[in-house]
Amino acid sequence: MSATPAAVSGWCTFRVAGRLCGLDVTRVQEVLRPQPVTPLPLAPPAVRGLLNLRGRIVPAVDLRAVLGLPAPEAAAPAGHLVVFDGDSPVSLLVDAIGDVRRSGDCALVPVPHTLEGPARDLIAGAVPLPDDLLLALDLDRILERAFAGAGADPTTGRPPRPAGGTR
Amino acid sequence: MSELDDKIVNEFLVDSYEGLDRLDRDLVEIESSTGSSAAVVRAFRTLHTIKGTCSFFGFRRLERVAHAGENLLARVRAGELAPSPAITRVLLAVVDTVRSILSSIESTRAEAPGDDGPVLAQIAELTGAQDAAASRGPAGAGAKGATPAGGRPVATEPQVARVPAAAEPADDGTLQRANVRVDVRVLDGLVNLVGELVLARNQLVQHIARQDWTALQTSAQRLNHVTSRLQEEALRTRMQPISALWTRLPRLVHDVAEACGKQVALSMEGTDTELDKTLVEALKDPLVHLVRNAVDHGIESPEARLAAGKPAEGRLRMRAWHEAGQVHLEIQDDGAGLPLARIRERALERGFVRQADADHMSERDWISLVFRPGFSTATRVTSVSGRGVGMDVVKTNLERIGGSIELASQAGAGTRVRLRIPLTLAILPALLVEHAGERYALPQMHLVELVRVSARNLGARIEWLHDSPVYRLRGRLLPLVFLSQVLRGADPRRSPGRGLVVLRAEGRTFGLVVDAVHDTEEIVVKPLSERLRSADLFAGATLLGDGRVALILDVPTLARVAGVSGGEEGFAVAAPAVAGRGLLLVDLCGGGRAAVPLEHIGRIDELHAAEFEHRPGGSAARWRGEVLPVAPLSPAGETRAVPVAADRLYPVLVGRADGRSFGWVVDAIADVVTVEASPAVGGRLLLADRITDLVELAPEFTARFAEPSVASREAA
Repeated sequence: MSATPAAVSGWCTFRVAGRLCGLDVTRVQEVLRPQPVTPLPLAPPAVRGLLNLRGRIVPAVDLRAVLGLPAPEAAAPAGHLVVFDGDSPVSLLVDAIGDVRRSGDCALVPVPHTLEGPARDLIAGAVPLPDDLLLALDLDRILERAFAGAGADPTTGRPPRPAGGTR
Repeated sequence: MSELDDKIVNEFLVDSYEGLDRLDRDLVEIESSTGSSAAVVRAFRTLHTIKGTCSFFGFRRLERVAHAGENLLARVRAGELAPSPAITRVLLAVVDTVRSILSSIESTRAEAPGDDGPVLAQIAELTGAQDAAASRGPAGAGAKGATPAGGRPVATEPQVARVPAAAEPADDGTLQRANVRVDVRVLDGLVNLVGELVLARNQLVQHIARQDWTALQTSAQRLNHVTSRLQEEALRTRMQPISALWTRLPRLVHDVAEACGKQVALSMEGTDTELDKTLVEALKDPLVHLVRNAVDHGIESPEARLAAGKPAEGRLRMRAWHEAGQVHLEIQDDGAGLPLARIRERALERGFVRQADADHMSERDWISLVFRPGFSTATRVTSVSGRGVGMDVVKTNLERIGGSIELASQAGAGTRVRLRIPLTLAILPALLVEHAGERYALPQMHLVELVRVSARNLGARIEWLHDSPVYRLRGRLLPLVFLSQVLRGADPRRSPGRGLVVLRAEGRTFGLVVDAVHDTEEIVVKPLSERLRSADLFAGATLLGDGRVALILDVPTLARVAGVSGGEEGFAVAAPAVAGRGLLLVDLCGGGRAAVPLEHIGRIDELHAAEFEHRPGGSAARWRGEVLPVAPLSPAGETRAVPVAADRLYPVLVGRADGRSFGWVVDAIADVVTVEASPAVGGRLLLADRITDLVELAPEFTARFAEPSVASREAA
């Protein structure tokens, strides 16, 4: 289900690699300060690990990696955006969390053709704001992309063996 | 159908499924005890309830079938008809029909069209002509013509064909699995605890506001207390009596026995033993398999039994009990036992065992072959009626839930299968190990031992056989897996790691090399996100005391992914008498020195002399929640008195035999040595310049002592 402009009452905004992005505010559960993340070996590259959300174990997805953006120069991202993935929460790592923007006054426009790269189909549209241009992300596609490869079976998905492995 | 109706129908279905399971059991009881009136009344009431409710919903077909069955039962209850196998058979057919209609209602919300004529006709036949007109459908007349003899309209053929269907647990829908019945008292307890939790929270908030340090500590303690009790109670809601699992068995035994032409009496003990709901589900299939095996292959035909001097009716005994934090489940038959000679022949013929190894193998080793994957298939292909068809599957299923299976058999006297299952999967004891600064949990059920090697030595002591790393552990070659290589593809030759943990899964023993070994901890298992579920290498995750997430390693997958080969069940490396074995040197009570092979010692503990209790039958001590029979170790196996006078601690070597523990008391532990050559002469060696008796503390040795005390425990 992609975010239909009519159904979106507001956008939760945040910045990734300097760009202003937004997600349907109803899909956002909460915002967290940086948390310790336990790495999850053999997971898809965008999955940075697992974090403890009040006793629930939640995967942390690096939004930069999903969008194909370069890794940040600074050490840690500034925040976690916990979103609903069905019933289970998923945390998105972003650079900075912004305000919630009502969309009553700003309509969704198609993504400009000039925007290219792997992130093209992860963007549902753009919202022209008075001061900036907001990229509305398609959460379901992002999650799909982030976890793609998690379905590999462990015998083929195992890490490459060094020459002359254990066999 | 409105949402409300939907809910009511669902409740009706859950109730009815339960009722049918009960009915199965009651009907079999009616047949076996020739008319236990209580069972008849119960069965009547169950059918009556189903009939009443379905007429309310307008399920006409269901109502008609249930009504006919009820009529028949009413006659039995009134004493007009004597219970007979024919009646039971027809009533069981009614139950099956009702069950199939219910499952069609569950999936489509409507009765599937179907012909109940034959069943109705059979009932009419039994109840007499006057009712027949009322209850017989149009197809009934035809069916009656086709079935001449009274009471046996269904030929045995379809009966045989139906056996697997009745055994299949898939025949009832998902509803039963999604619902749990919880004792109201447990629920009340939960609600009370939640109330206390809210109270504790409120106090905490107040005390924080006032910055009252002492009060804060009290509240924190209280919160801690309430939380642990809440956790305990919440887990209890998932607990189910094992009777939920056993409820199908009487019917299954009845059907299989009839199909094989055998007589079997089933007895069940410990029906209120509780275990986790998810485990009940996971055990269903293995249990059905084992019971079918026992009836089909274990118990002989009535003629063969009579010829062997046994009663014609075979006995199948199911027992369940809690012991040492686990659920024990025993299935024992008094049949012919495992055909050991045939297993031996087959194993040699199929190349499972080399002739050279065969001479070293104990009876136990031969029996364990039954669990080998290829082995059972081989017997089936050649249609040899040995046990073991699918026993490997049973074993795998059990291991998946952290359980274990043990087979014992005595020729002519029967077979005993014992399952050991954890109480719950939600909490499990685990060993924490470290790799790359992160901690990982290893479920303790897979843990065999920890090997202590100094970090510097480990790298040097790893040997490479054709690129396979191995470690010499007491004369056996232990294949190694490097956590760094599995998780990150690192080259183990460069940085081998510093800790070695010996694990066992899927019949393989292997060593896992990690960066460091930490402590053991009881961990609460949390599933990984749906999206990451396929990361099979991890069985889940858990939260550690500091709030960090730790991954739980799935040991069977670890073994598979790393391609551990060799080290298969026990006898791959047949050890010569002493050479290369690790020996524990002990000073005996009353003087003398003895050497005990390390592999026979499960654990070494220290017990105070005051802890030994002396009875005429022998001495015992309380040990880890069980009664541990103890005796002083003596090389010749003669009985000596347990020391009483001294006021001191005694080392106790705990060995296991037949799943029971036995403690050997010694005066002191002297040393651990590895003997390279084998200078044993008549059970004696010269070690550290002293003549030392070699005591083979093998299970057979321990079993001689373990037996009488166990008998007295069972009698108590």
